[in-house]
Amino acid sequence: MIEKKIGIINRTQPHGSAKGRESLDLTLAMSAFNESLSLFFINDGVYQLLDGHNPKQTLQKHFQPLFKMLELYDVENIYVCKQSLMLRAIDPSNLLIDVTLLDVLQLKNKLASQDQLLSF
Amino acid sequence: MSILHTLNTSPFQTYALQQCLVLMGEQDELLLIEDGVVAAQAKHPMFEQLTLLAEQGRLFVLAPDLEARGFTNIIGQQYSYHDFVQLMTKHQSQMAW
Repeated sequence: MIEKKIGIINRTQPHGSAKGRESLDLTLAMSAFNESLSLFFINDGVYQLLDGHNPKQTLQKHFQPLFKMLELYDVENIYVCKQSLMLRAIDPSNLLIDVTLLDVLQLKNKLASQDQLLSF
Repeated sequence: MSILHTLNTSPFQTYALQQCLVLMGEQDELLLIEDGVVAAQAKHPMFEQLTLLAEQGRLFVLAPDLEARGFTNIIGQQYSYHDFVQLMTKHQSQMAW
């Protein structure tokens, strides 16, 4: 059986909803049986990777360190929208993990090459 | 009589901030909470208008939500949960955006 190429898209801020954590849980779980995973961070989703989360006072789970598990789980295709970073004045050096920066055209092509997309 | 407006969505995701600014009275104040705190951290189309509000001392940002996201605000005054309650008692009513 040919493995489906699955793209997981993060479009929302962390801690405002559970989406970020759910997407990360799904990614780590799926990585066990799918080696063609791609992770995308676009629009407000780029804030998931902005280093320095501390949700102690809001009594939420501090899940950001789990992003570092992606490397261990061999999830290597991590794409971040360059324009979304620029619009929010985020320097790529402030991101928690190593990522591939894509411009809008590259992002379009990358998304088009996936068999299935899961949007969070 | 004044209103405390609270906004909990990102200006990059919804038009709530724009809609709120249109309807804010001269005595009204705005408190950014949850995903809304990003409006005090990043440049967006409504940033200049929000800066005016901050200069008048009418813009507040909930500090725990900033901290949860690893943000530092560039405009507005940081407020704690305790300050939030104090602020609430200052106003006649609250409008949640």
